[in-house]
Amino acid sequence: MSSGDTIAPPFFSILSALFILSAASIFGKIRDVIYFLLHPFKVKGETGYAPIRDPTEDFYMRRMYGRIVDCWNRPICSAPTAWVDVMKRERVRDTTGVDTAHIVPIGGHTRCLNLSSYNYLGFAAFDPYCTPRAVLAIENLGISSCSPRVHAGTTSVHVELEELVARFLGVDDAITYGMGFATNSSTIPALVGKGCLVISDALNHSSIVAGIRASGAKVKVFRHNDADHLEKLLRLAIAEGQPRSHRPWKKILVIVEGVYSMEGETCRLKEVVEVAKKYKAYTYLDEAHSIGALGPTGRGCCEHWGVDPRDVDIMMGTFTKSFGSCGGYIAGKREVVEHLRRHSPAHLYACSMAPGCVEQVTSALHVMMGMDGTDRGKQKIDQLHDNANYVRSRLLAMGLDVLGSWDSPVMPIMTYNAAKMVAFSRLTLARKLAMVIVGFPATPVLLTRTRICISASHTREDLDWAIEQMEEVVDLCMLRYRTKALYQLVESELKDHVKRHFGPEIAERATIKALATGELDLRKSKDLSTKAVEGGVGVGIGIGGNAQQQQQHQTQSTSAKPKRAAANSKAQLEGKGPAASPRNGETHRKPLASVQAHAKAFVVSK
Amino acid sequence: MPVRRTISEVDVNKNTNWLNYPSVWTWYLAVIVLGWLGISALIDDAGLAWTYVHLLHGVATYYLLHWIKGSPNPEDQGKYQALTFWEQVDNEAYGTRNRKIFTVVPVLLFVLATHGTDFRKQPLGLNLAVVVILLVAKLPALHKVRFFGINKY
Repeated sequence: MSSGDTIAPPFFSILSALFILSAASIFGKIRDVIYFLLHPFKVKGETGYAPIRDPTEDFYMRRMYGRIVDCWNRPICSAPTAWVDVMKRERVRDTTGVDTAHIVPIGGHTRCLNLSSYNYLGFAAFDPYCTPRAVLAIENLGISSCSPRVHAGTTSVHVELEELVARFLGVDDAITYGMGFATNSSTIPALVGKGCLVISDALNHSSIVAGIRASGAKVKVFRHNDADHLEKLLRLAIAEGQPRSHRPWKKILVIVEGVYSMEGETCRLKEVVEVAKKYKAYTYLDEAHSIGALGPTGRGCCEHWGVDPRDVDIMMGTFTKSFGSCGGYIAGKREVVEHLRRHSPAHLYACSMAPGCVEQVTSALHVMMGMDGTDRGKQKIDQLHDNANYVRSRLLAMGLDVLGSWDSPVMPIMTYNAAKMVAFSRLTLARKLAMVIVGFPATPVLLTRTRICISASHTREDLDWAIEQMEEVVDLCMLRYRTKALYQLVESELKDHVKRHFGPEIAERATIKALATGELDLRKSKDLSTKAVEGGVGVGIGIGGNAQQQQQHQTQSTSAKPKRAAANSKAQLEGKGPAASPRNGETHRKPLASVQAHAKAFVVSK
Repeated sequence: MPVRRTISEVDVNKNTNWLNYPSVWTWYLAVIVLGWLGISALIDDAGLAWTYVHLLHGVATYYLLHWIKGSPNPEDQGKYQALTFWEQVDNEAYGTRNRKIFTVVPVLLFVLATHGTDFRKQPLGLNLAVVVILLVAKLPALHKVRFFGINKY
């Protein structure tokens, strides 16, 4: 869904959302009034003290969230690969037999297709290259560094990672942190302060907002992805200067994100960078969801749009999403990174990334850059894009209001109505699809949605099955909110996208329907799908939890292990499909024997 | 007085920016009309029902717009803790379309209530008092004003 010409949500969906919310609120309010009449003293609190909480501010949590609490915080008990074990839970009943707002696990789990984890490149679980190296790093350097970077937390792997990140992105230097949110919330205050101006996109993440608030800089918000509005704001800000004193701003920083996690759409980086350079403002690009997921080789939003990474002053990203680790990085010019090494609180005081996590990222980057000697990295990113474009076109053809740009693995489907959002969540869980729903306050209150995160480890069969299951739920919940205007807009974006990446001749034939039915084959490596299909059948990733296929699958994986040396399709598949043996918790302990063998192999080669 | 043209702002307050979506005013008027239908089903005089709708609407909107403060969104970190809903709307700017609609509806209901039935059957003074209080509460001059410290915190 594009920006500058934002499409208004459909009339009746908002109307129904309002009626549902007002009905729920009225009932909640009636319960509040009755509770107050029955227990007037409990509500008030001690005299002379300020109330600990405000009844209006936590109204939602007290009266509405309890009804739908089973849709969030679902515990899983296996590695979050293409398939995941979701624990079974039940609502607690109080002594009178009434359901309460508490929900507890009751033992047992369901194997579900994982459409909720940010496992974009499939590095979430055992990987034949990354895991042995990460385990070796833990054995050599310990579980945690137990220290901030400036004390004793900088190890050889940290230095290696920072050099590698800088090389991967094509910039001078990089600095890494132990937490992705903290990367934003501690870097922005180190870069801007009083007397500076931050111009931030309307839909920026709360970590950026927290960082801006903590910095003390003034903030202006520009309409989402609207470079014209950005330009107008910049002109006005520069012409007027600081409020009241009208002194010139010390620094102007424009903050945008590569892929917006609630919309799945990329930022119009080219226009934004152009406008910022014209007015000599700095740009800060938050690539939390786009690094490793956008661009032909996974180098992020800059590669996707053809922007020189040196034009973006500060590039931020996280390792949580595509690289299967934790933490974040800031990359840019040497002076900027050196400044951050001296001034960023997370670098000076927060514990550094754990060595195992660092090595995981380094290994994942090796795979993505082809430094492990195979082309698994290229295959992963191609598979990710293929899967994402395929699912997007199928869902759009089904009539769903799907947001986001082509190639982006994040796919929000609008449900608008809070009741439909919840129904969707429960019905899909019953059909063994693990999906995330998002409501207030992460999204606007009337624009609730469910969000799919596609992974390179999903096979075409998995996705076909998921779409089939989803279609049943969509029929029940009546979610076909896609308007004609949206369809045309997305189709024109598809043509632009195909023209840029595949050439104008194919762009002529590029329609959503063609992509969905398979007439138009945008698969970058054509034989990728057949491998995935082979893998799907032979490796038998439990579609519908078929026990027979599981058996087949486990024997397949053990027999394929000795063949790993040869770069054949099975090995590549196993590398790509970390769902290799996923039944219960003991599986991630299973590969240790082979891990040690690999570890030794790496020692020898080093 | 010359009006200064300025760049349009983005309303990031998740508590109030839903007022800009398509069917919000339809919903508002629909709730009022449904309320009138419901009340006129319970009492005989449909015109007097408008009085009750006007009074109920007055109490409800005074509470929701001018009494409760803050925002249910924890990410705001208490930014709007001292502001009522009316004061938060549209980035605290006055004279916008949303504010005009909020101001017109009580007056419209007052007109319906007073003309709905005979002047002697309805509590005319009460109707008038309600509409005057609501209109005064919406004046730009009373932005962030709290009388006698009532509802300050």
